[in-house]
Amino acid sequence: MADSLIGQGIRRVEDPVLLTGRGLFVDDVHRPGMLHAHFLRSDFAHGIIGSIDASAARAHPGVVAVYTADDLGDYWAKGPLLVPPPPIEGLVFNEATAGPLARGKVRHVGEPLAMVIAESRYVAEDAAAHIVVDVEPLPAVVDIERSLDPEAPLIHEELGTNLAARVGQSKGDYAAAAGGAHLVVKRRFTYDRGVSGAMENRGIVADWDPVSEKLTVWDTTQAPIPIRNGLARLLGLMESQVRVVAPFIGGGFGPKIMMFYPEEVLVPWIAMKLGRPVKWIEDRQESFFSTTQERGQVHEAELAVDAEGRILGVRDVFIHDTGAYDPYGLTVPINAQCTLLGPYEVPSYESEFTVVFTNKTTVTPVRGAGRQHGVFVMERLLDFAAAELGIDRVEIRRRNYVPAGSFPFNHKVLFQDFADLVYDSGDYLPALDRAVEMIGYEDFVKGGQAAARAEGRHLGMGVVSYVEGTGIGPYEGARVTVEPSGIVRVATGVGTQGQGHFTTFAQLVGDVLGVGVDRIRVTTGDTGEFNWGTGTFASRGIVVAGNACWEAARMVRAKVLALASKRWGVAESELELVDGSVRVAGDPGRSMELGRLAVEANPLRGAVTPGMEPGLEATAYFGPASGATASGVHAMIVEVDPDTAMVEILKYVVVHDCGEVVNPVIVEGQIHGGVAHGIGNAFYEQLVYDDDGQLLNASFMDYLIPTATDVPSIETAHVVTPSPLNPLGVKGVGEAGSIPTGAAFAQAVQDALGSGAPDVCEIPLSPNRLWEIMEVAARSGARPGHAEGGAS
Amino acid sequence: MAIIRDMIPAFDLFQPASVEDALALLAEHGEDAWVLAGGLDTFDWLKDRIKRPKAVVDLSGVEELTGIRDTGAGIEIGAMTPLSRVVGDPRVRADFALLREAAEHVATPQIRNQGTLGGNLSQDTRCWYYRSGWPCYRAGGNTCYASAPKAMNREHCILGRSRCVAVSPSDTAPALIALGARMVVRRAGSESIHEAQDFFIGPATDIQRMTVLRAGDLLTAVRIPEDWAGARHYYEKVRDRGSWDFALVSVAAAFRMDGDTIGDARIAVNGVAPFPVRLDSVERMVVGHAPDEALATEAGELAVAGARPLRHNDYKVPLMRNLVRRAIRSVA
Amino acid sequence: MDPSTEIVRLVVNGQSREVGVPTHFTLLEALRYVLGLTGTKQGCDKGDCGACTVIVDGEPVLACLTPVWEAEGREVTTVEGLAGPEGIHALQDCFDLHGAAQCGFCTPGILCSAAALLAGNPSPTREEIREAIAGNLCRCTGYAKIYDAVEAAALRTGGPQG
Repeated sequence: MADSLIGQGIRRVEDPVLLTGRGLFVDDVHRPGMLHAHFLRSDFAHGIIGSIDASAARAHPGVVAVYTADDLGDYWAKGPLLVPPPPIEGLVFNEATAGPLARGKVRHVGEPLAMVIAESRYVAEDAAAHIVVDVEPLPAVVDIERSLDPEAPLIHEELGTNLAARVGQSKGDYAAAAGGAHLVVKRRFTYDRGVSGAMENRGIVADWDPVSEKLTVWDTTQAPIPIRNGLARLLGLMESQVRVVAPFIGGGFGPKIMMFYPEEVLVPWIAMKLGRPVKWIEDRQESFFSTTQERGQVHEAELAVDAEGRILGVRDVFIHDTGAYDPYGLTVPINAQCTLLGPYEVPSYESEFTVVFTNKTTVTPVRGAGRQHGVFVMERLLDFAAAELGIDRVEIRRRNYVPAGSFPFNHKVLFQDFADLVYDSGDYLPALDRAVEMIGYEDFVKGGQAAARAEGRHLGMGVVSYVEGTGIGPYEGARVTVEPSGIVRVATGVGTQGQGHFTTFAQLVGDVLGVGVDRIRVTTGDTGEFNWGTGTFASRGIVVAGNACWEAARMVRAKVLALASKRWGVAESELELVDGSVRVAGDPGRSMELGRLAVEANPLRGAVTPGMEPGLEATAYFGPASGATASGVHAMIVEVDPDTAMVEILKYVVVHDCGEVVNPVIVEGQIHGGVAHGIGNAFYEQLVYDDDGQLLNASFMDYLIPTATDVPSIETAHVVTPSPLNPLGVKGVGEAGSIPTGAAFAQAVQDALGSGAPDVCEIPLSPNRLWEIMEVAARSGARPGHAEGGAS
Repeated sequence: MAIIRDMIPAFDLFQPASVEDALALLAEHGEDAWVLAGGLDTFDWLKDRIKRPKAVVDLSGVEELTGIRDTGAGIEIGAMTPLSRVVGDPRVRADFALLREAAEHVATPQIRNQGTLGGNLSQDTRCWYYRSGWPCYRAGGNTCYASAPKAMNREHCILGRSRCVAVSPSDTAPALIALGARMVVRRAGSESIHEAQDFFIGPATDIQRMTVLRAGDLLTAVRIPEDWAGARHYYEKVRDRGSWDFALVSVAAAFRMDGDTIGDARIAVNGVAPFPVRLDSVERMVVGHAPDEALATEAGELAVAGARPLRHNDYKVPLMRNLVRRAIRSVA
Repeated sequence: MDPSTEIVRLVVNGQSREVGVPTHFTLLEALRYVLGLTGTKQGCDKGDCGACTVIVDGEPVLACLTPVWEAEGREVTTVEGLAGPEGIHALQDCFDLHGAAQCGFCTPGILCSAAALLAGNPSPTREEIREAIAGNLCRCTGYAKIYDAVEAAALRTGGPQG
């Protein structure tokens, strides 16, 4: 075959539409006669609902309907538990999911109390102000370490506890390992909450057509097919009566996988009930209260090493904040638990986590989904051990890597997909060596840092490793069809939120069929086109749906070869698919465009012989036995201004292994975006809750996501260890960039602060928090460059 | 408590074409009137439905309020002049670069195109309790949430507190104070001129206002005298994010050198008090001295004398001290 | 209750349009919900994200904080109007070439900020590009490829590099 399309950084096929403002996003959907929904939400984090009087709102001109929980009748039901707990011995799990409108109690600020449907959004908000809500406030549970205190108020009385789950996993004998260790380092680590910060808020438009008896729903979801299936069940419709379209989605980063949000349950229902299209678009402030969040954990962890810094064991006990409800089960804390092990051989591991309810917005995965917590703990422990042993921080990592020859490598703990945590492939040393070279490690530690300090500049470097379990099952599917026009149509069920699936899937299919991507039309996230699948999460699009697309294309190719071979009476091996045609190699006279062959394969007369199918179309599914393990090394140099506690990132390097790369430009973009998100988590982004559970910085003016002036240029390089678990050898990359950034940042800042500085064991840092750390350093005499005086 | 609303309620719109007409409207509507300049602060309040004016007086059609002109004794900048025009103005650039730098540090290109100098000076505080619609003193209530024992207050004040601990958010204010600017305030039938530092008032004077402007008043122009034209200057704004963020602490200073010593100085800081703070005592201390490291250190210490941090903003004390020190050092 | 509707004359992407809108409508609402120009996005509606950036009289502004009446008679350019008679804007082509768009939601606003930059400064430095798009949040790209794209577009359209 000519040049392979796979591995080329071709232009994205979706760009001509997106770059001219023609991409359809949910808020761009307008239907004639459309009504608008607005949700009245709780002002209190915790309270007992006395009464809700909506009569004045119902009488407000322009209002069509107002619903409270009591008005929903039998339609009110608690949402599903999306991910049941894995089969781990001794596991405790208390399920608590939310109904579409609060009933009896409110458990976080922003929990919806009433839905107003009106002729315009303005009217709906005007009317909502007339709803009289009587809520008796209760003390709120905010601090995750106080949630289980005997005096803490119960969030779900029926459970009798604020404990959502407790899970222990272990292997080997940690106590023995620690007992015989040369050194045990023990620290407490905290990681605080943030938002996913997709630029597009959530939204939904539902339109019921009473003539065709079909419901069409445009939804900002990462999982259109499960939403369709669930809506059909809820509404008593056949699945074929419901079409869910996730058109262009303005970023997902996790929370748009949550199923179902109250608005997704209610807006389609009310549209059917009223017989008019209904639209709800979340506003940004609302998003800060109602879209799921992540990242709150506190770890007490210890690492046992021998005199050479070889890991003997790790013990980690942590608390995970699930917020007011736990619909997503244990995915996030199990990711943290498993990802802690990283690229290292850890002979003994004892890990126990406690999940607690708090009066804060519900937690579900956000880009990284708990993995960064584990990486942060392990990488920082290694840093502290290296410092105490006097071993170079790069060297201690080198000594502990899983060796290249030992894959597949089984960590013997259970991962989020309920299978053993097995690394399919990897090769960690070359990535480390490359990163060390790119960041200029040797020069920096052997003089660069000291020279800068002599000039009064306080530079620090961070070098960290991580692995990321990606591309888990259960499955995705795809259908590939050659149209009579020669256009190849590809349909798959995963949604797309900017990952470039339209392009990479086209590359995979085009490569197999010898068709240029300009002749391929990919549809994602439209159940009218393809309706088997789960969704876009866990960095799985290219692995699971990508392989399904590729396999479906191969099946179509086989049909093409069989038909052409029969037509021309030549062996299949003599045929080639090039430029949208099939032809006999070296015989230009015997060539046929695929579109014409597709017409021939769908005859109006004659018979389709047994064993053959009409047309040139095939559907394939792919379900990997377990996840493909991506990995990498991040390195960065920071400069800390001791006068202001401001941190500037001077250089950032990523060496990444996501297996075979389908489109290097897209992969780089995914990494860049992840790093930017990680930088935000490390230094800028923190949700500030007060003791009453009130979120104080619910805007992009007060909750700071990085701007162009905060993200450095990022140099990337690749190491390729193909995954043996899928034919393409690919691994996921969507979350990778964000996972080790906090650990790298903390190590670099620690390095800049100099020896004697207190340990940096928390994320996010901020200038004021950093100042407090620097103050302690100053008092101990180690504050960088503060001979000139300064802080008291 | 939490406010989760995002649509502007209806209001009556007035679009005067002259200052006289604007003043008449403001006089007529009194407390019900809201002056709309660039809209950046205004629409935040209106969309949250926290402030609900009945009458919005839009100044965008009042041409006489826009522009920068030479008065013979300095320049006069109309209150409706966009910040980007202040930044790009050749006269400002040549003689009052301190103001240019300060204006350039405001928010983003878009906001500098829309935001006006008058709006930047008159904008309300960013205290997150107050902006969220909590019924605090400043909002007419009877408590300050930001100084409560468990309050989250890393962005609040270390100086000048009086029931309210919010800080002045303006980037241009300290620069104008350092340049000895005067604010021209008109109301129907009268005009008053205020020294820049007197234009801003603290909660001890009136807890519901940030400036001298009362119902019926209009800030029409800022006059900058020649006094500090071409003076050496220092401006620094420290913010959490590299751009698009209000100051944690900012410093603006103008110096006239007398050989190797400081002949005269005007220094102001913002982000530390409910009003921009002119550092008179520091000015007096540094004049007549060489700006060496010892003087810089002493100036920094004096600047923060009397600072009282809250629960979460200790860092503002050394930050302010260090910025003042850097300002003095800059003329060494 | 909606207040009375007013007729406002807008010049959008070179075309004169009359829109009937309530007094309190913003330019963003008029563009998106009255004129059907949905390329301009609403990300926060408070001037905190930059997704709604459009060009008014050559300058990038936030449409969500621009009252519709203030745009009366002024030249408004949205992402739909960036292309010229000879095809798409060099920025659009370079954004594609360099992978500068991911989800595409913030992209129309960034294109407008960048187009206004290049119109006034044909050969910006990387630092100037950063400053010019500092008022546009993007969660997907980490911005690096956006700088590359704007630099490439400047090389294609601008004068000699300064």
